[in-house]
Amino acid sequence: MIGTDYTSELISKMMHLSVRRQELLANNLANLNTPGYTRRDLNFAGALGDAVRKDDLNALRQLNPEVTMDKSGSVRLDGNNVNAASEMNEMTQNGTLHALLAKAYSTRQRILKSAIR
Amino acid sequence: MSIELIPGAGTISSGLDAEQTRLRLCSANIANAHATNKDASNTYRRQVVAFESVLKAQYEEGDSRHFGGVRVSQISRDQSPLRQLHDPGHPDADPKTGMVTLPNVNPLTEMVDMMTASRGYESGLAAFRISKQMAEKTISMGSGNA
Repeated sequence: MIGTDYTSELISKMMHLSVRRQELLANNLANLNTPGYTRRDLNFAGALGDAVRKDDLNALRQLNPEVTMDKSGSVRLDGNNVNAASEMNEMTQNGTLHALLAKAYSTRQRILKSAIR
Repeated sequence: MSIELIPGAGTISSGLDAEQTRLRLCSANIANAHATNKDASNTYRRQVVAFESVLKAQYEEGDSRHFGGVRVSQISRDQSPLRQLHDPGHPDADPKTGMVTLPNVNPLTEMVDMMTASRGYESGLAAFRISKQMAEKTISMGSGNA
C-alpha cells in the first residue's frame, strides 16, 4: 500500500496490544476470588522487538502474541495467584503506556502533516 | 460478537456481578444469624457462593480476545454443624432438652467475606476507569494533543 507510515502502524499495533493486555488484566481482576485461577498475561515486548528488528510491515501486522499462564507470585491457599495490588499496578502502567502511545500517534501525525505543508 | 469499545468491559462487569452476589449472600446470612425454626432440621444454613472463571469462548474460538470473566457456579448451603444454645424459655426450644438450634452463621466470617467482596468490587471499578480512559484515548487518536 502506498503511503503507509511504518511508525503510525507500529504505534497503533502497540496500542492494540496494550488494549488486549488490559482485557487480560481485567479478566484477572474479575477472577480475584475464583479458587484455582492462574493469572494470565500478554508479554508482547519480545515478539514486538523481533518484528521491529525485521523492519517488516507484514510481520508487524501479523504479530499475535500468545496469552501466557503466569505461575509466578505466591499462590493462595485456594490455588489462586492473583494479587489485586500488583494487578492494579500493571493495569495503571499499561494505561499510561496506552496514553503515551496515543500521544506519540498524534505527534507522528503532526510531523507528517507539517512535512506535507 | 458485539463491538467492545471499552477493553474488558464485559469481563469487569461479570466480576462486579459475582462480587455483588457474594455481598448479597453475606447480608442474607447476617440477617438470618438468629433465625430459628420449630423444626430444628429446617434451621437456616449459611449460604456459600462458588465462583468459576469463564474461559469457554477462548478455547472454542481460539481467540483470547473474549475472556468471559467470572460467574457464580453454584450457591450452596454450608453443611457444618448448627449452633446449639440452652434457652428453655425460647419458643423454638426443644421441649425435652431445652436446646435451641441456631444457624451456623458466624458474623466474623461474614464480615471478612464482605470486606473481601467489596475490595474485589472496588478493584473492578478501578479497572473500569482505566479501561474507559483507554477507550477515550483511542477515540481521540490523532486529534489535537490526544
